[in-house]
Amino acid sequence: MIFDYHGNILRTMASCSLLGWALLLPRPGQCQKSITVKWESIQRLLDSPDDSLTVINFWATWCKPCVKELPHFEKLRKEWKDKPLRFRYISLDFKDEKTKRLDPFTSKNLKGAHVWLLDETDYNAWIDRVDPHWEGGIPATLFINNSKKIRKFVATELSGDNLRRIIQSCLHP
Amino acid sequence: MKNLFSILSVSGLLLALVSVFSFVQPQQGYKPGDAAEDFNLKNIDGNMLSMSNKKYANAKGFIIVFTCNHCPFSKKYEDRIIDLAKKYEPLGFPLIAINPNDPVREPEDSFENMVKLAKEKKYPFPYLWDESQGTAKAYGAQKTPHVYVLKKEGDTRIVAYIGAIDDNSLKAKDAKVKYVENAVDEILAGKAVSNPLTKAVGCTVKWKQ
Repeated sequence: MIFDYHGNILRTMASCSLLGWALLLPRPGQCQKSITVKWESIQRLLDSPDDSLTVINFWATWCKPCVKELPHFEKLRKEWKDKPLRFRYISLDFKDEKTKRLDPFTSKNLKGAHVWLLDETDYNAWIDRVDPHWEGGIPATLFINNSKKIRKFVATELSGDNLRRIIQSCLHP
Repeated sequence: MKNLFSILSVSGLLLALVSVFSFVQPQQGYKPGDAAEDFNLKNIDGNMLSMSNKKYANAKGFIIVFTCNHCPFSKKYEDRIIDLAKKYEPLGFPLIAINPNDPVREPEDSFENMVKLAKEKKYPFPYLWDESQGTAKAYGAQKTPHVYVLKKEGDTRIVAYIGAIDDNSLKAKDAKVKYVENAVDEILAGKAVSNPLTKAVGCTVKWKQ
């Protein structure tokens, strides 16, 4: 789980005050922000060879169905934190609204989660790399485990039951 | 025994395939090269409008933009849509905007709000309400904004381009490739459209539930 470790370090550094960081007192609930990434970070996730299921959810704070389905993801992330399972929430919010919209939302609703703001506006360059069937509407979610050759893509809003069912079927194929 | 085994493994493979494909949305709507159907939808002035309307008798084609009021991407592109209409209507490519969203799911996209927004922003193009969502379904519009450039060939309208307006949603001035302008310019120059299909992030069409 190198990536988790890496991600946690990044998140802690990005999100906490310098004092908190220096004293090694990260308080994720209170100082959590999103981190800004380029496409390469997503590509590394897509190419990750380790045997765990990565759930990559594309969303934005302005997208109502996205905001509606996120609590289902959060519930399972907390419930199944001991399973070989990781969640990445890839925000497509506009980068000039990061501090105004995305970070307050993250801090309030996605405590302890990995929230990445994807800073790539040339969508046509990468949408097909997520899935050729994706037209670009959000929410959209990719379930991937390269080691088990699992790759499922859903381009609609998920109910809690559906999400649970899909993750279970990916964990126990 | 060997036969039984192969039957089992083939059916297992089929099951696996079915389970994979059940997550994939069926591909519907037009591809570049298809003939696009006409529509007859209510415009913000209260009148019905179709592409066969007399005022379009001399049009060389159309820029059809599925868009809406509420979507942040539509808002980012609003001024660019207005500029496209101003630039290309005089060249024979009128722009028609169509709102495909169910106002029950997104009240900001109601007909009344469409009328209000079009007045505020002085839309130089018709803004139609796809109340039944039949046009969006026929075209395969999945998000807003989603553009279809149609080229008139006699009485038929051939889909020449589907996709995004340009390659930068955030800022018009940072766009390097203007997909829609390039497509229309190529048609006007009598050339084939070199990039007939692009993808972009947008708000999903709010289908009736």
